[in-house]
Amino acid sequence: MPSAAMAQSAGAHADRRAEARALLWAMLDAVEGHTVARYAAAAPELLTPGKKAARDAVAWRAAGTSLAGTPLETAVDSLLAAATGDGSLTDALLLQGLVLEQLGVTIYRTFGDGRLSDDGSDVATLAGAASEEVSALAAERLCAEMPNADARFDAFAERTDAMFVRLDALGEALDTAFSGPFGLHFEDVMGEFMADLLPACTDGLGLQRREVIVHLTHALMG
Amino acid sequence: MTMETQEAMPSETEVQRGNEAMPSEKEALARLMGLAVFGERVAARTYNLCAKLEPRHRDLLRRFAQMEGQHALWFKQASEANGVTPDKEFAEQELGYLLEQVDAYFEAGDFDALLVVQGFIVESLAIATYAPYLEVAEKYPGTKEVFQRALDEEHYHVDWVIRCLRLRWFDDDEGFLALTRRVNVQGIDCIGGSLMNIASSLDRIGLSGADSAGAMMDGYTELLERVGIDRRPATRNVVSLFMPLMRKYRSQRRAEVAHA
Repeated sequence: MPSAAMAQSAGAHADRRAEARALLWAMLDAVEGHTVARYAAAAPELLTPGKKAARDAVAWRAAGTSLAGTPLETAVDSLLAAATGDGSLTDALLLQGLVLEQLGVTIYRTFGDGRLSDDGSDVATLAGAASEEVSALAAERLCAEMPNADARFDAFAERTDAMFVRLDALGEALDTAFSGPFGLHFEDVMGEFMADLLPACTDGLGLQRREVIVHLTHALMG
Repeated sequence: MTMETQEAMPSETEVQRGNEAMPSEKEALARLMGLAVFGERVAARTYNLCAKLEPRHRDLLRRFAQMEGQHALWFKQASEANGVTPDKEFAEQELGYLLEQVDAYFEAGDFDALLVVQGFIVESLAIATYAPYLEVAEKYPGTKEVFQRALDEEHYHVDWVIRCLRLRWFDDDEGFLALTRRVNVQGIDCIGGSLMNIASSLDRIGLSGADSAGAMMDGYTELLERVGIDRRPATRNVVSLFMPLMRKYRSQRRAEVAHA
């Protein structure tokens, strides 16, 4: 390929990556904004200083970006609608504190690993650490609220089902937006996510690993 | 066919009225038994191929092959006693891809890859379906005893395969992880895909395809851990390979329901 054509191709790839990064930050901003609002309403103790700092940093990094009119807009709105649940403390602990925060841990680590600009990677590191901290707090609080492990599993299964279905639907939009520019596919992200979520469920909540996996397959197979 | 089974079978009219996406109970049982009978025969052949590649374990692996062949015979007889002919065409369609993979590893002299695909992936499917089958086996007289015995023997095979692989790879976790990644791509696509293709049949006889899929994912991940792979990479690898299969399954179900 002539050097001018190569430069043009490289430039087009860089543009696609920049667009994808902007979409990613817009998505993370929507999720962080939703999560912080839910904590403020139902579980203020999860609104830690680290979480507030992470939310501000993500909002700063996402300034000027938007999901409006993209395939991600509907899928993210749908996921966040499912994540609202009934607005109770239990839903805030499970849907935001466990599932969305663990998803945050996965996404910040995955995309922060050389796929973002330097300042983006710094924000991802900060936000990922905050998500880990809040997820651990949420697990502790849930165990205090529901001392019985069977009851915790029943609540987990009942309340997260719709979220996992929507999360999988989000996967198609994520693949469209990110698989080309970042070379990353949703199934890989889900593999990482499950590797993060399972110990949070077993070690943090005392749930049976087999039960959690079977719940996931039920949700994903429909 | 026994009286009990005759009563359990729906009439042709009921079948026609039913959801077209779901097989009738008799069709479902024929598919499941077909996969069990012919899958066990493939397992016997694979263990025999393993025996040819590794003379040190030849006698034991041949014994495993005989046990798998015996399972196939038991299942065929139990199936016929219930008036069900194992669906050979369905089984061959499902197992063709596996046979290609097995033959390729044998041609390459790749004993470890053969052990992973048979001793881990295929055995995981067997365990993930035979164990829950025992809960409904009373409906099909004579099947409970043979599935219980086969299940116990599959666990015995798996335990030996774990010990064998641990010894062969005890100082090379990374190498073993690379081996499983290589084998998993085709192996899980094939065997996990077959599990998705029998999910509606499992649902029809009172089991759950989703339960079995979850059990296979978890069971296979545990096997990788028992050989020495950390839980995190084991989970990541297995889940990422099952995700497209589950997505494809759901899309097909939606299309079938829309068509019906």
